Amino acid sequence: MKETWLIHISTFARVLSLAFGLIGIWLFLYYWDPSRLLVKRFQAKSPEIYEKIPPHFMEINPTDFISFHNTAKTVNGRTNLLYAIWGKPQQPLDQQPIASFLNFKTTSPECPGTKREYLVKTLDCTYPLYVGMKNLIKIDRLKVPISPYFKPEFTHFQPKKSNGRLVLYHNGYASTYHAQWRHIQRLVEKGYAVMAFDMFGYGGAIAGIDWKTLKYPMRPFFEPVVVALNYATTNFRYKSIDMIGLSAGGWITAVVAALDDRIRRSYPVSGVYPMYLRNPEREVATPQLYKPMLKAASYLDMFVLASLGEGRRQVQIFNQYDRCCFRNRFGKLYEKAVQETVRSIGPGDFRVIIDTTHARHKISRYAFEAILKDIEAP
Amino acid sequence: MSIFWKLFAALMVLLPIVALAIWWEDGAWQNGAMTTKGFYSVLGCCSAALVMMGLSRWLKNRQTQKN
Repeated sequence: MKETWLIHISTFARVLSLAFGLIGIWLFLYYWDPSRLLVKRFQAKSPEIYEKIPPHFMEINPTDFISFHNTAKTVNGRTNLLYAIWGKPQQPLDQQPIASFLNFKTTSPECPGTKREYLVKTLDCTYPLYVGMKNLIKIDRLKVPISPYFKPEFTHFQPKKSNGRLVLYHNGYASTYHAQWRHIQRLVEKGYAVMAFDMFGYGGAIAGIDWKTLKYPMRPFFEPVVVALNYATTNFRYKSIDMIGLSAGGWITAVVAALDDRIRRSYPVSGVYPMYLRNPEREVATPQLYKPMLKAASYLDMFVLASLGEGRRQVQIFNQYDRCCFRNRFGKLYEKAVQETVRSIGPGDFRVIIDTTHARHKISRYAFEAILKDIEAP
Repeated sequence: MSIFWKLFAALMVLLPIVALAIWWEDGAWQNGAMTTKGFYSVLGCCSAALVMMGLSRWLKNRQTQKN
């Protein structure tokens, strides 16, 4: 009797072994970028999700949505945009951040204990990621007083051996900039100073206010970056200031670069499409639809503004097989129209890169190398 | 042990090693070509498969010895 049981258990263990093994193989394929890409393509319900351009998009001429065709119109358009966001013709150029913790260090990192803790992780919790980072001399934490209840923080990573350039990084929704620590590390190692921002409501920008109730509701999204630019230009002599943003951070990058020409090169990654190309279920975060802003300038107009100027350029990167949003090759539909408009007005450039190396919502190694190459290009 | 199970065992040993190599090579982090979550999941499942294979073989040996 006992022997029979042993045989049954042995057989069951073999079946379990096979099951675990098959799950292991599946997980490998699911989590490795090249095979995940094949899995996602295979799972797509329609070819229009990732690969095929819907015919009605081909019929739309993007130039119809561009109204800034000469210098006077761009100047006027930027002023209108500034009015929509701050109610005045200029961004708050005189505002400086408050030093929250210069040369930040901690020996006892404190992490929040909630289930969704990755959304609220601040530097207090993630400091160990940066300890021993090559070429990092210090981390300054600064606050931007937007209201008594909302003082978002940004972090200034300073390199020991500097190349004299600054890169701003904005993370967008669903995580904090600490999730991108390898990219920050890479920049610091190469001698770039980095200022990193969390999205309104995340990490160092936990909000005690409802942005919709503010007189100028877009301020909490854009003002921290503008104040950081004030701080950088007043206290440091950087040769260039460039900005990278992922997801909604890409949206902020595109809009801030349009508003403020102190940003030389801008790299929105998977964050912004013109309204006519957006998926109504996935790409319509409420702040991005703020009417006064879109009345002042369409997104295509903003791309023109962000690309115009000596040495300026906007390079938009989209993950063709992105699991989340801003996927497919739609960026290529308006690339030429924006490029030609920029070139007809003055110096500047605009490009779109389609990243086909993975199927996630991230800045891949391929995309990051492309950004680094572009930042270093004259 | 049949050829099938030998190959299966070899695959279960190799798969986490390959996953580790990819994970490590692209920065050993969640946003690499192999995510941290992915590497740990593959490691966990392949280890479990090997443990179950070992258990099955041990039980079979025990039964053979008794007989």
